[in-house]
Amino acid sequence: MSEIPREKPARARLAPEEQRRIFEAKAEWHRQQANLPIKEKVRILLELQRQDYPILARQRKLEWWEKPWDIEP
Amino acid sequence: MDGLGRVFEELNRLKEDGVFEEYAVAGGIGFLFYLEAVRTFDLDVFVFLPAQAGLIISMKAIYDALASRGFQVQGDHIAIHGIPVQFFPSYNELADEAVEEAIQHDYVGVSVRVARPEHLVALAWQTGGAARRERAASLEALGTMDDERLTEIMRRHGVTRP
Repeated sequence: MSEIPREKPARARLAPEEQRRIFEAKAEWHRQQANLPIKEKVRILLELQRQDYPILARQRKLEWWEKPWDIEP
Repeated sequence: MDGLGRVFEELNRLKEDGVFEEYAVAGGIGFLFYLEAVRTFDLDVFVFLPAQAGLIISMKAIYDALASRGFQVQGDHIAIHGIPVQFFPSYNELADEAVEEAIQHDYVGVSVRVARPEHLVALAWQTGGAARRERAASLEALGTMDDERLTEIMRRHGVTRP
């Protein structure tokens, strides 16, 4: 039995220029993050280590070195 | 001075003492100098070791030098000032070039040699792995690299994107 083709509902879309603006704003945010001072990026890295560690530890046995660094940012 | 700065000081000291001839920070911490922060737990360092007798090279000189300074060697990593560091004797011509052409950066007053972004990206595509490829793609998307240099490096070393 062949399927009856269903008509796709019309989807509301953003105007192309608005879509472009949103993507460009996101790209700009990534550029700003990349341009942060290295010391600030290390502070963020330490925070990411602390956040991710318990999640990773629940998923698998971690190597001894896979743990947050015990250093001051 | 934080732990990372003290690790960079140790790298410079090891080079001054002739334990290795040259080095470049690579891997996740290398990317950190050019890209937004992405989680990593260790520091990868590519090194040129002095000439050794025989075909099989040994990391013993590095391990001994660091152990004599009180740092703990465990498996393939060495904990230096609380940060796990892994040394890689340069393993191919692309890695050689990454070490030779590394950029001198300033980390809170400490000089540190870091592989160029174009080399980090080429090495990531060459080595593979989801995390490395994601970092490489993110850095390329930023548009801050020398695209001609990257293309030339990848062509010369036969590196392709999957």
